[in-house]
Amino acid sequence: MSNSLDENSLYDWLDRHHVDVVRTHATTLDGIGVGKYVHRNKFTKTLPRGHAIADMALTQDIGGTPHLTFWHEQRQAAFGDIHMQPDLATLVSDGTDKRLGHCIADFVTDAGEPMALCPRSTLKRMVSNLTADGFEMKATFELEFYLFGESFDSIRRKKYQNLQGASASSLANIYLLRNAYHGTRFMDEVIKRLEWKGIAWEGWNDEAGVGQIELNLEPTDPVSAADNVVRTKQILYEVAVDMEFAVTFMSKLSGTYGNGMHIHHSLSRDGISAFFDATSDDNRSGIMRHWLAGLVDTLPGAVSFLCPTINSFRRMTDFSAVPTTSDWGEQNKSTALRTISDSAAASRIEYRIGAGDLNPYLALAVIIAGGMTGLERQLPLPAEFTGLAWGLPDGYPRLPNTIMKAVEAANASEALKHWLGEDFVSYWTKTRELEWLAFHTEGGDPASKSPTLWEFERYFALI
Amino acid sequence: MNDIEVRLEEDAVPIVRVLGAQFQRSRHDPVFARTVRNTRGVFALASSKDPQSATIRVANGRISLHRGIASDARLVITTDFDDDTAKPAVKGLLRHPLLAIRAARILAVYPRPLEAVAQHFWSLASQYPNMPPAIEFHCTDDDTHLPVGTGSADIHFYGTRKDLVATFSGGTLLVQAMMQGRLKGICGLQDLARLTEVTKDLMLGRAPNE
Repeated sequence: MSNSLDENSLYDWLDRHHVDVVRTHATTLDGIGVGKYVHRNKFTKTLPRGHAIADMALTQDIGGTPHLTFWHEQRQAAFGDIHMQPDLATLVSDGTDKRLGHCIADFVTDAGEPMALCPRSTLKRMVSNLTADGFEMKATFELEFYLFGESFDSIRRKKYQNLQGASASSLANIYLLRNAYHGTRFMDEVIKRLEWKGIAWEGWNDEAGVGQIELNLEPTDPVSAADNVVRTKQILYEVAVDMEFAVTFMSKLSGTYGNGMHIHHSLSRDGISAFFDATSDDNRSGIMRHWLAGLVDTLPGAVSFLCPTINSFRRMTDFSAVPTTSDWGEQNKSTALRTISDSAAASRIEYRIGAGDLNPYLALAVIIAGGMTGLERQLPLPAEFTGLAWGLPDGYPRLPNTIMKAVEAANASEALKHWLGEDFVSYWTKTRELEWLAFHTEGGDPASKSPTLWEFERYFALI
Repeated sequence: MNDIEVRLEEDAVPIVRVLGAQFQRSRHDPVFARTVRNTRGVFALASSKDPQSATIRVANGRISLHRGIASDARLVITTDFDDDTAKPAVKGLLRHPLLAIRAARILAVYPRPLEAVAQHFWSLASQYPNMPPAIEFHCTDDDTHLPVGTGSADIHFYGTRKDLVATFSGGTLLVQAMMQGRLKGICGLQDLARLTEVTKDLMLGRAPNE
């Protein structure tokens, strides 16, 4: 949902919707929602810069440890405040709690300048690069998550063992209506809250894991698409708490299928698909070829952003519906990039590396950086991979399969540093290294073939 | 003296990198170098507090490091990595006493003079961007002051010789040493974080041009 509120019409909007409290919602580098419940008087009084928040909100890891082993120029010298600048176009009422409104916010400095480390501001910057070249992007995410028929408290007490997926069977089927029926009461409430907040959805279904569900949202502009993801994840969590279910976006919970977050995107110019060309043999335009070539070129460096946690990489194994090689193919779901080129309306690219725990703002920013690299350098498109991209022998280009290999690839990517900024990539990779250090030095077991208690405690409810 | 070679596994875990960096620093000590040259054997080091462990293979003047405890490790030394006063438990000690003695020499930290550590730390730190122009180390054992850099220092670190040497040679993170109270300091968060990054890189064996 997007409205055209300004500071003057805001008061009227708050009155008409009976909103007394606004919950602000910004997203950390780890993709975690942070914010405050703010009285309407405070909310309006602090515009346009927004209310203050300790800079630790943006510069702490998932475990709450401040980033004290590296620095960024815009950080506060002694844990001082930054600000959460509301994007009034995202203000919506809650629907369930009549007095509550919700507003997405960006992290800004004391002077009101965008924080370079703010994921949403980073995506906005990338979108403006695209717009400057006359392109419009549409994007959407496929949200995969596990639904359990017991509460977060119960699962935590059980130390995340013997989880009971909300499903008719304990077999790894997919699309089964009987399995899906176990989720309908939960999903009906989710859909109600999505619609109230203006988040357009396309469908949901039983996914391959026991209790796993996939929810598909409607394509929209990149920033709104990412906003929709962070809001939908919050709604899923809140409905789960209210109904004594539990949900998680952890990438890998057990030996069965993990949670991914595939990202579809398309480009248009003046309302016409920039990816489709009916006169070419393969229906792909020159723009799509260069764009796709840029995505392939930047895949290794992008993995760090698409698979941000220790747990993300547990999912990256052959034959688990996750790409492990750096390639593309038409309607090929085993390659990292799947193209769909059969019509102007459907013409798009599905970026299939994304793990369920990714930060949607950064994921889209990296995708745009990849595509822009291809366009700017007029990169030639590598040959299509037409076979099965799993179980391949040595010699095929493998994607980084550990968090530190992904860090090395990101640091080596001149394209990502060019578009996202060298400081940003450097800071990001240091946060990933912190995640790696925390896992190894705070109880994670590198020898364990399955997710450890450290991962469940860190990611299950928060990611 | 520098014919000792230290090799790490691919995509090494932190304990392997930390040990590798420590061995690289110890290479210059004659006792360490002689011990490595005269040792052939496999032993492992494990944490008593968490699942961290590493296997150390020594042969022909070469040390190879891998994660985990290999099945052919003759000794397994288990200790608390965060407490250097903790007494380690050694499995296999009675069957392999000579290897145990040599393993202890290999794992020992060979202290360097604070003056040399301070100069070396600064020579590395000054290669990082946005470093302060000078810092000063204060040894509380004998009230020694060791300034490094140019001009008078606004940043000061206080501690025993042992703790200053351990921290600024890469034995621990600076911010960790301060949070644990082993070091005190006059330093803004910004410089503390940046200087900690140098100690982290030293600890993980990847400080520039070391």
